[in-house]
Amino acid sequence: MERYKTRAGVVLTCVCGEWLLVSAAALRGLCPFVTVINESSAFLWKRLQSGTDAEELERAVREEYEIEDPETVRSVIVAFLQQMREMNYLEEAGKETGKAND
Amino acid sequence: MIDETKKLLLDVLSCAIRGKQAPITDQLKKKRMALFQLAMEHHVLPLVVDTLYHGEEADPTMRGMAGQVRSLVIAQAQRTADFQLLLQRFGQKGLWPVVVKGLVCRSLYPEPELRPSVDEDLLIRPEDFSVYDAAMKAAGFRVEQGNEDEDYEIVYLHPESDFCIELHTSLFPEESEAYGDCARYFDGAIDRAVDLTVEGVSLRTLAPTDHLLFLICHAYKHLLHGGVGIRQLCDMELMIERFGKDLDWGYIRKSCDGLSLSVFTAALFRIGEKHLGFAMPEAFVDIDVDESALLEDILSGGLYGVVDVDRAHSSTMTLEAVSAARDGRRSKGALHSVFLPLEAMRGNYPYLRSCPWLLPAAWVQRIFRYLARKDRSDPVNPLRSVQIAHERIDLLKQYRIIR
Repeated sequence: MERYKTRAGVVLTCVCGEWLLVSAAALRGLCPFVTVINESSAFLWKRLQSGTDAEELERAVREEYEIEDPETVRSVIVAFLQQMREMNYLEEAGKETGKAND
Repeated sequence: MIDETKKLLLDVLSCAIRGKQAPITDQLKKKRMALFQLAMEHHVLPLVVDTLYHGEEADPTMRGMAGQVRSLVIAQAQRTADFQLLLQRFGQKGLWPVVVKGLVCRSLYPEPELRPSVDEDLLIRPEDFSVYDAAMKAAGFRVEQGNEDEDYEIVYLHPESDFCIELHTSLFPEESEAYGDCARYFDGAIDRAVDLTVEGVSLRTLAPTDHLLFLICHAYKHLLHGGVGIRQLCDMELMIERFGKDLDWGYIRKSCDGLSLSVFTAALFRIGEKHLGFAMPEAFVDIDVDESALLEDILSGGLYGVVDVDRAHSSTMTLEAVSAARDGRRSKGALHSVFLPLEAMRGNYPYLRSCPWLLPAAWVQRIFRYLARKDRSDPVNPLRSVQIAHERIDLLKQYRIIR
């Protein structure tokens, strides 16, 4: 799995039971302004934000959701990463792309 | 004795700041709209609604409130995101301003974006001002208020997002007779600043002891200007909870003694103990204080006491009373509200910056402006304003800020 980190200028928040990703004004055109995500995506986002690598991420998902099958765990993570990458909420670790309209 | 709605606000807040859901009691159902109004005045509506929102069980009113609060939280999250990018941009240029309250205080809450901040505050060295000013302008901000030569804080606004940053070269204006003394307690605060990671973003912030002392002094400043907000007390208590072991309580107590703020601070902590469920810090246990008058003052004024226009106007007298006490002179009383000093007039009468000798003309202009006001929907009642000032000066005496 490639290494990704959450993009600076994207904030995860939860209000009245709804998880939201909200991006900075300067990221308009690059990321959606607001995206509603589910609780398990929020769980993965928090782990990525704290610098968790792929192996630790798999372990965290196994423990949190009590999933034994490693392939299932992997597919959950891959799907999440792909969705977040498509929306430009992630960037490759070690690479800082900065602002969209710098 | 505080009324039912105020008691409810404290009960609900004490759940909210611990990330717990508050039970929906019959009393709460009856007083719900009054509670929301009070929470709005104190800028804690998202915290209150979120903690009372029980998902599927929510009735149409609660669902409507959740919708409103969702917009407020998204706006706050966007300001946080904007701020993260600004800090990242500063970091890329080798600039590490000291982040004060705002983002750091929000990070103390279980869900940070539920605690709104109107702006963000950055502390920098005076000699670095031009570098930061250029960096702010390069990031698209423009100066909204203040100038480098006269003011200790310059307000910047981003014209597209309305995001507001205050750049401080000092934490308090040294020239203020009422609270300028606070400034010297933060000499060297930038050298003592510490690294902190908030939501994946590295930043510099005040050392915990400096930060808590700053929150106390900041609450004192707002007490004089109109009122302390209950949110300010929540910030303090959560900071103690998070950084307790790193706090130099001996220094905090000694500083409060030096500023005549120990009784006031003990009263704040007593409110935290009795109404929000926090422990009374050992360093203030010896002070026997009745916190009830301060609590009523806090809860009746809204955030910073601006909910009542007469109360806001009364601050010119409370500030003058403290200035006089600190100076050892007799207070000018109500006349001071009419003939404000130069520094208080400069904001609304910018020509005084270059022509200070026009102060008497500005006084006359101010009186005529007041008499000619067409918008009388919320007129100032001078007599009530003076009465509030007298009551609040008694409060300052009760908490030994002045004698």
